[in-house]
Amino acid sequence: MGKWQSFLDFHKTKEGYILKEQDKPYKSPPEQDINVYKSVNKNFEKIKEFMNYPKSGDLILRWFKVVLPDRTADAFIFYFDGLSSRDNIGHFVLKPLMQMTAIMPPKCPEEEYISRQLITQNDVVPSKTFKQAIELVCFGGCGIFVDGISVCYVADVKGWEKRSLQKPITEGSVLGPQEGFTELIRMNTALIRKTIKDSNLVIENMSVGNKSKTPCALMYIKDLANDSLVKEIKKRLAQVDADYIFTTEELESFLEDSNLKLVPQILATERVDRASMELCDGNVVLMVNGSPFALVMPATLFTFMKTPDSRYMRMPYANLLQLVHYISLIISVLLPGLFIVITQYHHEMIPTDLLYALEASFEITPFSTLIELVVLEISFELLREAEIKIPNIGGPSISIVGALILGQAAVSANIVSPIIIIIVAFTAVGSLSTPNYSLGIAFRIMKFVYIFASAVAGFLGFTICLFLHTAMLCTTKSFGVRFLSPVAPRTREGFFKTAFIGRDYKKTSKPDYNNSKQDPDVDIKNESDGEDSE
Amino acid sequence: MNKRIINFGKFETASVLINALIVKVLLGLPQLLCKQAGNAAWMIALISGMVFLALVLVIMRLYKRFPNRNIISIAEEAGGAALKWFVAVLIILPLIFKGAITLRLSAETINLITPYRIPSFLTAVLVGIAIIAVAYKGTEGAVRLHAIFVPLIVTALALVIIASCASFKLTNIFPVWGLGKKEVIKTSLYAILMYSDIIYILLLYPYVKSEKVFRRAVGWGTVLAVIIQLAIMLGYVLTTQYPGSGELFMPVYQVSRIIRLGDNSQSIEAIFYPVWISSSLLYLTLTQTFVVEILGQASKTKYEKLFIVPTLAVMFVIAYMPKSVTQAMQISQKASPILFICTVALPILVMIFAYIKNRRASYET
Repeated sequence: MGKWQSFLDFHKTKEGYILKEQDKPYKSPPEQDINVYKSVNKNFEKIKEFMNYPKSGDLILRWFKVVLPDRTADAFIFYFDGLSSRDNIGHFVLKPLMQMTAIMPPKCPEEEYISRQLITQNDVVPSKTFKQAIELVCFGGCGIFVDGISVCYVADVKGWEKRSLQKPITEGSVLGPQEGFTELIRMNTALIRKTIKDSNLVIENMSVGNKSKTPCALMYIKDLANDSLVKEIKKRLAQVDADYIFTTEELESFLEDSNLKLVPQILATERVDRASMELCDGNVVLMVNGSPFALVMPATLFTFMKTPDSRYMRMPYANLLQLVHYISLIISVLLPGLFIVITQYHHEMIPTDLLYALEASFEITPFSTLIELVVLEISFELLREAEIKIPNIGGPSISIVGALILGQAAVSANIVSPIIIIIVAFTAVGSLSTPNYSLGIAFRIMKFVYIFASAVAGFLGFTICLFLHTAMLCTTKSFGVRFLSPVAPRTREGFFKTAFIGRDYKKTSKPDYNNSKQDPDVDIKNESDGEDSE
Repeated sequence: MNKRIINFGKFETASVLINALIVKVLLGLPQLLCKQAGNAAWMIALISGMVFLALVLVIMRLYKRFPNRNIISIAEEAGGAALKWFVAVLIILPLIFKGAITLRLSAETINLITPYRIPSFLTAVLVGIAIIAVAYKGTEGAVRLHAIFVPLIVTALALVIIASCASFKLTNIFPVWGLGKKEVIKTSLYAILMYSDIIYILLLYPYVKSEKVFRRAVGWGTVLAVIIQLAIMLGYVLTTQYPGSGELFMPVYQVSRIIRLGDNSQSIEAIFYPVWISSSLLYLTLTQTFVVEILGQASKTKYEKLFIVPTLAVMFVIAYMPKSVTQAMQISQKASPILFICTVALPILVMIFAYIKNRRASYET
């Protein structure tokens, strides 16, 4: 009984489809890392075997003849329909190979003759192994085998359907460029190249996923990014052990320092300008083909809290915006807990008139403030999730349900008090105003912990929760950089310089935490070992 | 002990010292000093603060000769394993005792000032959970927390003092010498004994980035702590008349109670609850972290975190041995000379001994 014999398979029986044990032992796929043969027929057989032809319905195999100087050779091309451009194959691969050979006398050996003189497509990779050739074909290439030549020429003729450039959906801004990344990695890297016209911008190609072989691009500015950071990211990428990786979000969980921490440790952005700014600050950006988000590493709380708008606006406006962001974050996590503390434990803080009004509204509802608050918060979370899932079709209906049923009807029926609705709404607005979606979720989870801690022990519970939450944030790291840097540990930049926009915000200095190569403060830092704690 | 990978800067080191010194002011020192010296309590803070600064200078000068080592390493170097364990035990016991007293005091005072009733022991259990959680994060977590919370605590204290300015009565500080010069000097000497928290300087050293940073941090931290203490004492004395000032529990809280913000709020002292709680929590977590670290260093084990729960359990038992919080405070007062000897005099003696031994060894070679 082989190890894989217990694998299950669908079999039709009288009772319908049931899962049945697989009768044949699992057979691992044939090894592709072998050299291309000289015989085109052998190569054809191998390609059929590796590419599961004719089971793979979208694989196109086409035979033709190439007239070489001293002979006429059999040849065939293979590509995936829909993945490669038929026009390009026709014009730049088949046409030259079938027609040009007669008028182009060879000026180099036969092996080079095809790629250098015949195929007019701009990017041709001569692959010696089947593995490399198949990988390239799976990414929109067209493989060409010619009899008597032990090389597979792969012409880059990508031609799949793609989404055009659109506005960023999750990171809207009033000012600045409105370009968002798309799912196509090469288009994204081109957008970055277009923005940063620096020859030191390095874009390293790599792939992740044992089976998916998803192309990735690691981007950094060579004379800015910290070498040890780049090395660490490459090391973590090399250690990714997953069969399939399709998005940056999946990859993020493999790269971050700890999966158990609530807060995100890598910034995901779909804005081209944001990714470019981070690169110019000495950070490293990673893109995955098929995902419109770029990962920025390392990231601190203050990286998450900044938006591109704060760079484009005038200093006073930008600082007001930053202040609003911080207030919204604090409201989204602390307000419900504080409300519980003040209304349940510290009535003395509330002005008498307001206290009467509050007590009167609590009097008519059957549930405790805690239950009302938690139920309404959960309801809001449900509404928000529903709105994300079906924004266009069901969005208006959900809004009506939320506003009318949860709001008005619940108050009219004396199930919840109006003040609770106000608090939940205020918290929700705060949460929605948080600049980063992932960070917003992390703090939304903590909001419930604060609510329960406050309900259990008033300010004591609230403070202990705040204390532990801060301790958790203090010890979180993103690629060796503390999440609360430059507050804890405190660095030369300090809180205000990082959290807000100073007069010199466009100067060439880089964030302190990532120890970039071109930080003008480096010399000063070395002279006085004063304030840096890291 | 070799230099640690984790480095703390000036700000963090100073924050640790500030909180270690002001936590007792928040929990009841002004009341105690007012009781013993009357209106001259603020002067005691000034005099004892000056003496404390001088003491710190002496220790820093001695410490200069032992770079990147804490007191346990110095003891081991000077007298081998026997002296190391002797010093470790004599430092751990006062730390646990001080932690226990602070735990009891903070649990009781928090309970006392809150309008609702949670059993004191439950308060202590909640505080204990927080201590365990932070202690598992290690010294780094505890010290980084200081960097965030101490500025907030100091700001809140400054707000209390500023907001209570309207209630200051200059006549409260007269007569200047309070209950007499003799009492002032006697109480000042006694107050110095309360500064056994100087031990944190001796334990933090290996973590600090450089000797220069350490010296500056200790200097700034101590000066600021003394200034804050003096400001609080003055604020308390100016708002509360003797003999009432010797009776009120949790003096800074009492000062915050007189603040009024017009019709916007009935009373705002509750806003400062998180300040008292977080100051105590910071002190307790740091104490616990150092107890665990010393135990780990003395026993040379990698699994020092295993000591967290047992040492905290010991702290709890000691904290709840006295029948009342008043008894706990009395015990604490009586024990302060012993604590001072263990945490200040003993390390100084160990450093002198190690210095002499090193010098003799260098002559021989």
